[in-house]
Amino acid sequence: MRRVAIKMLLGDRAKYLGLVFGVTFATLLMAQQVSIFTGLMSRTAGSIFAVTEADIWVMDQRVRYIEEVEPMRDIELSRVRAVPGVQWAVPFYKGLATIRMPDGLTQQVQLLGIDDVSLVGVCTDMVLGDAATIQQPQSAMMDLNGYAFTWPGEEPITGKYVELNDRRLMINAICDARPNFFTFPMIYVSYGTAMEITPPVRNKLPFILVKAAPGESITALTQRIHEATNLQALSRHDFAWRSINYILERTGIPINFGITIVLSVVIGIAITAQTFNIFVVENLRQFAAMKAIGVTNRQLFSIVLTQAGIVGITGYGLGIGFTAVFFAATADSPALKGFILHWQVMVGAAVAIAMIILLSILFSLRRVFTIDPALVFRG
Amino acid sequence: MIAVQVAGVSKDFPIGDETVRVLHGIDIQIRMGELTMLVGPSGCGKTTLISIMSGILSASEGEVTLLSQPLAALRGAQKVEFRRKYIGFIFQQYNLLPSLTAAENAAMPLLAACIPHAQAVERARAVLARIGMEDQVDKLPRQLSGGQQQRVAIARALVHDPKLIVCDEPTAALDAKAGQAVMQILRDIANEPQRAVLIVTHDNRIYHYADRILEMSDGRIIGDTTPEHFMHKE
Repeated sequence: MRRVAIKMLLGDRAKYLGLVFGVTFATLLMAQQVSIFTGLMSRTAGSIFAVTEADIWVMDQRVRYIEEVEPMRDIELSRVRAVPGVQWAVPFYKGLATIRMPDGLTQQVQLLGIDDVSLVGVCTDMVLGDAATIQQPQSAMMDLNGYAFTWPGEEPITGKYVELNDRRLMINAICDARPNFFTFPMIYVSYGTAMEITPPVRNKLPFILVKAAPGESITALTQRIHEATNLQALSRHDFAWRSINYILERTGIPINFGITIVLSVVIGIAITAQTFNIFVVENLRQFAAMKAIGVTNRQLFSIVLTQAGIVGITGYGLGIGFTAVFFAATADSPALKGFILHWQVMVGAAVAIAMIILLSILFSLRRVFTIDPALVFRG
Repeated sequence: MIAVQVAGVSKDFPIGDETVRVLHGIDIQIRMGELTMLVGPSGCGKTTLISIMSGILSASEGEVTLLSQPLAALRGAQKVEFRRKYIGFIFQQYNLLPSLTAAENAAMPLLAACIPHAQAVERARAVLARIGMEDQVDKLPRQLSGGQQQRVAIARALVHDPKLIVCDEPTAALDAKAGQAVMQILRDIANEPQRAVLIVTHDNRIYHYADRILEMSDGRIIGDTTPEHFMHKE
């Protein structure tokens, strides 16, 4: 009977394609939107995960996420270094700045000040040049996406100049940096250079990166730093989640994505249930004839389930395929860089699609089960 | 030998708050080796009666015994299985599955009995060949004429070798020539001694194929006669 079910389904090509389209559309929308959402959340913590050398981030008590900067006194660096269990502690500057280009146009950038000596926190995925060149005076490194954004259509080369607060910076290196919440170009300079070129204010130190001594408990050390300095000390993982949670709780992003995802499920159910129902209703006479000649309800259930399974698997496969193609095609786009289709999203979409299919066939099955086989005797 | 024994069968249908009796104490017998026609005006209860005789509907009163088996003693799935084994159906609108070939459509009762697809289709091909459809076995219903589709339906009714063939207006949608061809096949089937054919019809062009005509009116059997006598009376 399985073969009969498949032929019945594929025989009505328009309905079959309509059903598959509904499931494909729902899968694509769900998988793509959830992936973009998770990618965006992952980007929120991108600047934190990009710094792989440090175990702990130390910052002002008021900081709620990575993009919020509350500068500390320079003395705090020495106080943190003095805490037992700290192997090393280095300054890390992160802030927004405006650059002026040779043609006079201005553009906002993310300025990252890296410890001059250790270069802890610098991007090491090089495209051109050497990251260590930022140790030279008036020298900077730009990320590849930022370069493409600043000089569209131009091949990346070193030696270009930008102006920041009336200081000239030469781009001596280009790297492929991990994207973060903002899509502005990233300019890496030494911490010393960052202090020189940013406007003079009393406190400038946004973050201190800390490495725990070997064998030291990260939790205990964060507690100790907090007690000793009255600063906020968070493990890399905790700071990443604090940043993600801030975005989740304080912005409309999750609601907007949530609405899109819910809508995709509702539209998926509507299209699939409606088309499946029409498919069953139009075949009702055939189902009645089958019942009359001795096909049991169990066999009819198996027929409908087989048809639903084929529609579900085909639609889901196409939807996931299109999502994967979308992310592969946009892998180099600065706006979508780093967004990938996680296996968890695929599993979640599969569960949602299974639910959509089950809901769709529930209504149809009721009609099939209750159909009076005597219907076939009515001309 | 008696194929179907109908004793005191009545049928009520609820319509709104009322109950309407459409069959009134029907008593008939359908014999093996005979082609019996059930005739009468529209709405007289013919379809309801064959639905009850074939176990699709249940009688409100009375008893139907099919091949010595009282139908009332059979429960849901048992009744479906009994129908699948012993009854073949031919419908006015053919009711073939549009995306299955003629052979696959004819094989449906065997597929419902869980006989492997290849084996079932092979048997269906043989039955189709017997009724002159050997060249059409792989065609879809839409590629066949009305008469050919009805022959596929006949093959479907015969493929599992049932004892009773129930036909509902088998020639109503066919032209005269195709109708005569279909009736000749049914006539030949009815000549087999272990098989009974029961046909509900309005079509007076085919009455002469019958061995016996049962006339119905207002839910009652009002005549049980030969075709010659019936046509003379008409």
